[in-house]
Amino acid sequence: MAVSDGLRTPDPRSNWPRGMGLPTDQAFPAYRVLRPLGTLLLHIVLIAGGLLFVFPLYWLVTTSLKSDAQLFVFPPPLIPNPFIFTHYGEALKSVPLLPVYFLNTAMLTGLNLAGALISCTMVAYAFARYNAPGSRILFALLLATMMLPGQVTMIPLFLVFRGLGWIGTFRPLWVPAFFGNAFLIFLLRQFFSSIPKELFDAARIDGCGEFGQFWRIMLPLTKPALTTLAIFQFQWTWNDFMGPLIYISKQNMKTIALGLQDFYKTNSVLWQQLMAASTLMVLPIVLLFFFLQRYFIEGIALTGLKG
Amino acid sequence: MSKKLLSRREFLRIAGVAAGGVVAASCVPPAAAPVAPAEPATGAEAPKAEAPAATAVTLAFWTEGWPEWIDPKIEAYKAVKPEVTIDFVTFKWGEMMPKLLTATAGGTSPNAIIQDRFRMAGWAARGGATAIDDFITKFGIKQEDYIPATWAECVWQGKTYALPWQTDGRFIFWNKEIFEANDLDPEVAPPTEDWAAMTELAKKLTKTASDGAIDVMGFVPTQTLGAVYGNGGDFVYAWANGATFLKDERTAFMDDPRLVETLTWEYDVQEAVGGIDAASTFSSGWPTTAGYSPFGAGKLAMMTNGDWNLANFAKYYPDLKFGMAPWRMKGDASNSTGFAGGFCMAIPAGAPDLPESFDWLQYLLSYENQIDCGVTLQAIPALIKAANSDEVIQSSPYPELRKMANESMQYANFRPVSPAGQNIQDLWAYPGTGRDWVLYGQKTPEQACADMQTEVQKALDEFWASV
Amino acid sequence: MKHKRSLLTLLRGLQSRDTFWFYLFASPWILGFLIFSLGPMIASLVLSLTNYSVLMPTRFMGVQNYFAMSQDNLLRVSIFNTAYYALLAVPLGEVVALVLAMMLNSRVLRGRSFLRAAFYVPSIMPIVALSILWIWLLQPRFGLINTFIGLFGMRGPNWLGDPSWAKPGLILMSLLGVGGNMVILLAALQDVPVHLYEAAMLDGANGWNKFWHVTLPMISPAIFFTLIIGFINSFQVFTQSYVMTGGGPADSTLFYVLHLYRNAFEQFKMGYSSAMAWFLFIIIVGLTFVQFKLSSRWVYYGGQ
Repeated sequence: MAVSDGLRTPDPRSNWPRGMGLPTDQAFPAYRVLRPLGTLLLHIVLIAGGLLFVFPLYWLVTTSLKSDAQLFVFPPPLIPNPFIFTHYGEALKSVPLLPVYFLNTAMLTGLNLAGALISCTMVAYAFARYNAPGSRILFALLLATMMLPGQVTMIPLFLVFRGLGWIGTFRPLWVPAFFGNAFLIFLLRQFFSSIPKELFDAARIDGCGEFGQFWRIMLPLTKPALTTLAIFQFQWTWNDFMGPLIYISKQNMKTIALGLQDFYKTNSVLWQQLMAASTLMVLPIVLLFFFLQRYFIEGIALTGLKG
Repeated sequence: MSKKLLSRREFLRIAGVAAGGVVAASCVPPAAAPVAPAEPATGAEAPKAEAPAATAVTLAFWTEGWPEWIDPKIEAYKAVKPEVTIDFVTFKWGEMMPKLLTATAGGTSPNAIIQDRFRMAGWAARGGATAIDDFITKFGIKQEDYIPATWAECVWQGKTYALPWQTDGRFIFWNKEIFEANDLDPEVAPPTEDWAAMTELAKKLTKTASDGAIDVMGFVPTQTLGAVYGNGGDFVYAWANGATFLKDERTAFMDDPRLVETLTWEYDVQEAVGGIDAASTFSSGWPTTAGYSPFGAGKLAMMTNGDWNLANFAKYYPDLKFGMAPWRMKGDASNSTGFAGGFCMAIPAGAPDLPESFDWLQYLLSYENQIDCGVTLQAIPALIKAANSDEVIQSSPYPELRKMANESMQYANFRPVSPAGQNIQDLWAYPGTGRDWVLYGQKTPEQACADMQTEVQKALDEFWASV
Repeated sequence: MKHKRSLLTLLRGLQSRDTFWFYLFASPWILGFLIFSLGPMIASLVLSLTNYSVLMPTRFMGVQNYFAMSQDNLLRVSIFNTAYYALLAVPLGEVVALVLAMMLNSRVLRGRSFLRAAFYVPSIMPIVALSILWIWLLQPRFGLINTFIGLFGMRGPNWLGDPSWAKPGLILMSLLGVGGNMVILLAALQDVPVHLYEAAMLDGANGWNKFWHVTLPMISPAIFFTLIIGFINSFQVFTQSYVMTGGGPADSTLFYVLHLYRNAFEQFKMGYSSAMAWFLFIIIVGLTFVQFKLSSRWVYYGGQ
């Protein structure tokens, strides 16, 4: 594939700022003074904002480490004193099925992720690349599926799954992912639509088939979008509450989001244990995001192909 | 039947338009199914009480909590009935409803559930529950053994649809230290029969901090601002004033002058302690959960609240000095009223294996397990003998108060047993709507009660039109 | 007649290359739509013409449910609340997300991975687990937000306790959840070809010009997407008020779908709530249609 190899040639000037219009222009007279100042300001704003945004997580983690005495003080102290790590062990003791909940959730997340990556990319490719009779109507229908509140389709959908004999199994919670999700398809379609047609025309001339164009041009060129898809799908399945609530009727088939309710005891809530379990629940998504976000800076330089 | 056919033809037409006629045919069965729901068991075909078969049976059992109490019971039941497996799953309060309704629509209801009792009439009236009178007779269960309010909420039009499990009462609580500091006799209960005096007392006990906000709140009667100021009071005052919410099965009585008077008083007390702004600024500092109680922390002088607070006080505020007494009838210091809440056990309509399900429920409700419910959960067992037993009373951190509470349940009131019970609860007792209109100064009590009357009557009319 | 003709066109079209490949690639979704979506959607439309209550016998009612909506006072309140929320939360969220995405995309930024993760964190936290935190943050006297406002010598409002401030309070909450949009825009910024900036610089463009004439058009498909989705979602806003405010105080956070949910699952009025759902559906479809019509003026697709 000469075309895509050519695309991967690094741009010698790829270190230039992109997107943010910081004053880097050599022609700009005050450049030498303003650039460091702007950079400093940028860091100050982002660090302050970042602290604010990360505060919920900080609060979650520290609450899981607080003593009873500190938990019931208002306003709540910012730093646990002393740090108590035993709530994590106690959480396991009061909800012994916790590891099972995690396994169930991980399994469902894996299946959903696989399903979404396969189906959504294909369908989005269809909508972005081809003009076919009916494609506009189908796209309108795709969007329409997002516009009806799920609360009223819940019972009819339950009957569909009952008709398929899937009640009592995990299937209602993962099989639909293999048939695509409207939000993700629309998202990818937006990204796919901005890839220049000329690339595909060139590939076609080189003898590359339709699947080849999809696999070797579209997917590699839209890694940031695919990463976004993976993060969203992971997080939805991981945090989904309503789906498991409706379709899971066995204690040992619960997912973690549903299982957190086990920490609500009669007239009281095991707060620190709930927060400990929630911390364990949130951690994988934070880590996933942290490691996947590097694909965001792997944008492909399309120099010389357009314009 | 002809109505159903019509809707199906209608359905086909719409389907044709929506799907461009291309795919409609393949989708008829799943789409049409919900129009004809699983036929609920009607009273006429009430189940026969037969001896449970000795073949292996699995029972789905759903609750909104108490796994720590139920798990051991399941273990113990295995020894009694080894052929029965209990498939137990539990949810947070309020989360089970969409699931239960969806499962019922799909004809896959669980075999048995624990249900908030005030919801029972709504389900039973609509055919969502199985009448269990035959079993009750067969097992020799007697209505008179139960706290009257708890049983009354399980009955709809002469048929019994559930067995009461546990209950909780509402009482006036007062902080004795705050009373002493204000030169009041800490051992004398507040004059709940004299509403004007209560307004004065609320004002007197309210103390303002240096920044103008309230430091110690005297009393806020309503639950408008969440459970910070108490729980269930709005019903208690209405009953103390003789209001009934309904004139009869089909007629709402939300515009009862006694309800107008009750709302007016609630508004007056709130104004006396500084108005809604001050009251809500104070309350928003207290997340509503055990251990975060302003009463326990000495920041709230009086509240109307449930007896479950006894266990919480012992745990989170062991040094708290407080009193607890029944709320008296308005203008009548010698009579009091109470509010029985709590849960019952029921069998949803259309569930299979009725004899086994009932056997499991009556096991959970045995005398021993009623005692255990009182001791372990510190709730009031619905069975009078268990509620008044020494074992339950002495298990409380405050045995005298526990004794008073449990005995007072004999005379406790209960929410309207009506298919519109949820509407009344929403408007009169849940924060967010209805009563809020008055307390946030948006409507006069008269107007608010008239509007509530319209809402509840509409719900009743809709129900009776569809029976 | 009309359908027949379009079916014929479709069949004829299948012979062409593009049509064949389109339907092949789109087949998973088409199949899924037929199995999982179309039936329930039509079913809810049919139910909206009945008094379906799950438990009781169902009767055909015609458009009576739709008529009853005009008599529903709480419905009117919920429409106002929902429109208020959507019209403020979506544009504000978009601006915050865009500014964050551009700042976090800056080449001179150190610790980029950490900062990006930090801004995304609130989006992944389950609302339920955090309701207490929010009550504290928005608490009028000691809450972090009012403490911050106090630094400027002003007195912050009683957020969730005051009917006129509860919606702004929830909108403020929603702003911490802009991480999702930020990620989408961040991904879009990666696709902006460097050579366009080079060309702009050769033309002597300054930062603002580059943003306005290069960045904005190039990421316009992503902005368009986040706006469309933002409106679809915020017209269906539910969880915040369900978990935190229960619709109060005094109905000020009673959103459309919360009202619908209560009708459906607390008062068993499934037919009525289906009618409510289809009314909302029509509104969202109309709004989306207008947005698509307007989009040809400002959304730029490089592939077309």
